[in-house]
Amino acid sequence: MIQSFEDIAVGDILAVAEREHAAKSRFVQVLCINGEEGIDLVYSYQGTLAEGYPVRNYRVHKVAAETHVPSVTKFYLSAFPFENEAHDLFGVQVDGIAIDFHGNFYKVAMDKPMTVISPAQKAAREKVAKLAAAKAAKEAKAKAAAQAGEAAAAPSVDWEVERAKVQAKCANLDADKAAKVMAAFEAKMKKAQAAETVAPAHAAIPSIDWEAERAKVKAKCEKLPADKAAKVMAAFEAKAAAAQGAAAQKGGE
Amino acid sequence: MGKATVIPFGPQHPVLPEPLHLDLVVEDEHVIEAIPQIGFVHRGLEKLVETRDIHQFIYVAERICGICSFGHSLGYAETVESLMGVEVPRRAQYLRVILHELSRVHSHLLWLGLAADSFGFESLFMHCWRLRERVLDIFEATTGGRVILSYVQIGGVVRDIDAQTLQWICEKLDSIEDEYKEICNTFLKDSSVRSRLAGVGYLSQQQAEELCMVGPFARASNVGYDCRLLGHGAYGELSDFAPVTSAGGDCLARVEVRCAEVNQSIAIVKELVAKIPNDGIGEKSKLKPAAGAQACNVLEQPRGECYYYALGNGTANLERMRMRTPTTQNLAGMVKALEGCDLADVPMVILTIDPCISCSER
Repeated sequence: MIQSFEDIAVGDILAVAEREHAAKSRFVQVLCINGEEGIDLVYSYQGTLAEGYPVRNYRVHKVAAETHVPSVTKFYLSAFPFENEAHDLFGVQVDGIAIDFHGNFYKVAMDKPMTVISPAQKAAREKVAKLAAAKAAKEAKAKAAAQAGEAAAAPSVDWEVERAKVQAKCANLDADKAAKVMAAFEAKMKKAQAAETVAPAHAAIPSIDWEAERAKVKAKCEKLPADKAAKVMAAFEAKAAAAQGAAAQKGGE
Repeated sequence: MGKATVIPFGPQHPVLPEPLHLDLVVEDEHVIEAIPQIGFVHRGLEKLVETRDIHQFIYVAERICGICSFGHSLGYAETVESLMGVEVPRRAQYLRVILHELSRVHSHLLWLGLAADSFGFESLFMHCWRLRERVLDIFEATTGGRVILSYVQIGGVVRDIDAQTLQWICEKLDSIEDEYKEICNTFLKDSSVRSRLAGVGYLSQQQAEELCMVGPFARASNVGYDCRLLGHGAYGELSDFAPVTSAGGDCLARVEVRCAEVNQSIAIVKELVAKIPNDGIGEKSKLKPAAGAQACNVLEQPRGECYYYALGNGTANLERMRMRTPTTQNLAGMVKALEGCDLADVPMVILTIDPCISCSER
């Protein structure tokens, strides 16, 4: 089925109905969509056999409660049940309906029952809003990461200058507080320098000096009992062999 | 000329199966104006999309009406499939159309019975309903239900019908044909029936087009529109399809059209059974409608064109589901058909539009 959706303004409703009527289109229906900022109205018309019976839907967005909508019964009498329905169930003010029931077409217990936003609908809308916000945040994060990647190319921090600044600040502090501030600065600097060395490691991971590592482990093992030391050394050798094997394979690729 | 009097008719009336109220303005025995009113049984079913997900809502859709229950589940599923771009296997499409045409047969037989009842032909009414039972037997044997079938799911159908059962359906329909022919003869040739139907509730083709009427009501005024012409689903694979029309424009023409449509539906079922493919029945779709996505669909229900509209919101529930049923569309035509008729013919004219107030008040 050929179908189309077009957005129109309240002022275009009659012009569209007149145009469709002149083109011998058939009136199909009017429906209302309940929104927080007003009611959307969808007018549907069906074209002729020569056009392949397309269904053309015209949507009017956010019709406020105080807005008056013209009736299309001037062109299509069969629209009267739909316009009375829009009034009785959604509270849309339609002017000039050919058979106007003035709110008595539907015998419902409450006024405008279809405009009630149920807890389920509210939850669904909140969920959609949350999903949209999460998506936007993810996109923003990805954008920031891309910018950070560009920033990584910028020159690194001059830690000597930073140290001099902190020392200057510490001159006015008492001795143990100054020692604490300096220790914190040293730790921060060490961490940042480590991160700087790890970041480019994605491009080229420096190979580990396994001999130096072995010497360290041996030194540790001297303090341990013989059987535990043998176990630690065996574990280290296995780890070293696996790492070296993997490195060799990667190099081959 | 007599004094104009207003006679309230319905919502509770022996001839009305459902609650429709009419204020009949009469002069002597002639109706000069009829003002319809519905809204006594509005159930807010369309609003239930907020609490039922797209799969659960099929069961709500088919409860809109007991007669076109299958049609509503099919129309709803096709709309949501169109919204999400779901492909349905051809076998499932064939099975859907077979059951939809069978429901047209049972709906028209039911209506013919009610029409016979409206002009006081009780035995004809019972014969029509007796034949309808055979179609309900087919539903029971294939889906397990006689009224609410729960056979359609988004993406296909819930169970297959094997070749042997399909053949049995054709045999069952063959067994109806002879008896159905006799019933049609009574409706169309019996002088007492013709005297009650011919020339009553006349609407010209021009009036039918201006009033945007749909379904057999419109086709009886020579309007050649039938949604099946659009070739959606297995309808597109029929070797030949032309809407049944009549130029009569009166109650008799409406009976003629429906009588012929039963035969047409039986022929469609037999043709589809003969060439049903074997590419599976599909499975329940796991997709969700995108936020802001909207789709519409039209389906030829037994009573006429039904329009469906769905709007997604990115969750498993729809933001809005709309069914515009043929009765609502035909109310304006019914008002015009009533103008000028005799008071005694009012029930028959109302029935010839095959009104379904349950459908109109979702």
